[in-house]
Amino acid sequence: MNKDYYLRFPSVLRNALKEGKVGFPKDLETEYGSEEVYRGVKYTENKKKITQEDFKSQMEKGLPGFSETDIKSYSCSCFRDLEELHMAVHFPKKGRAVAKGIMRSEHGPRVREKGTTHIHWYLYDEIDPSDEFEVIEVWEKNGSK
Amino acid sequence: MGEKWIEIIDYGILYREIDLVTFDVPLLFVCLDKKKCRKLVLCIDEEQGEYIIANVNAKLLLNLLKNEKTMEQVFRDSDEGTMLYVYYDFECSVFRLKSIPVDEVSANMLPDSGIFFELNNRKISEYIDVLENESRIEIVRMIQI
Repeated sequence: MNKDYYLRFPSVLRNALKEGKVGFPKDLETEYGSEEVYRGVKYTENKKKITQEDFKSQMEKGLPGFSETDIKSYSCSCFRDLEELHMAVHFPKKGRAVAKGIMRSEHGPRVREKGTTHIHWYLYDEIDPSDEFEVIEVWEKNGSK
Repeated sequence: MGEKWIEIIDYGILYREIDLVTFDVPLLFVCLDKKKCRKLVLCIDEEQGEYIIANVNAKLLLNLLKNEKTMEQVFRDSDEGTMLYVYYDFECSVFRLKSIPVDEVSANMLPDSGIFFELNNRKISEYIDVLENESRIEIVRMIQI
């Protein structure tokens, strides 16, 4: 892959690619048009609006427990259906919602996980897809929709 | 063995085998330790780096994936009668753990009671095949002994 392509990504991914800590898999799709997808987002009393922060990868957010040598740690997870996202309603951390929006190749390449509807989206630097997503499901404190 | 997940002080390194449920981050997944013993991991709070870990064998995982036991029950039926509460020590930048007897683990640290896994896709089906094969080999081995 052309090393200049790495320059298009946020610094944390760009540097990991340059240093050889990670590499894109062979099934990376750079041209795919657009597709409707779902994304899990944070939704609390104080945070109801979808923002660019909702699309940052684990590594960009600096969350503990995510491997810097796993390319998936640098992706934004989206899904083609709601089934897997719905499972999260039964897990301990509440304050979540589901957003629906459009995944576009001009915003970044993607890798579709085999055997599931999970898509790893690698957004280019400074891309903010939040305007193209809207919250469609909010879960209450007790987990009910 | 899979990608390294985390190293826990006084416990060792865990390697990710399969992600079962992802929201914006993986919430329920299976890890292996260096002896290839399986651990079922539930994310309590990814921002604080809090997780619950239960020792599980292939049979218990099959109970989970084939909806024979609820998710909560699988955690409570885990080996050795204890679960591990793993948390990130931000001051020292390391993961630490506390061992908690199963009956002292509060309900809000586990999946909601009465809820089955219910998710099914090709990745899960292939993992079920792997676990069933392992179980068959183990039975043959036991018979031979």
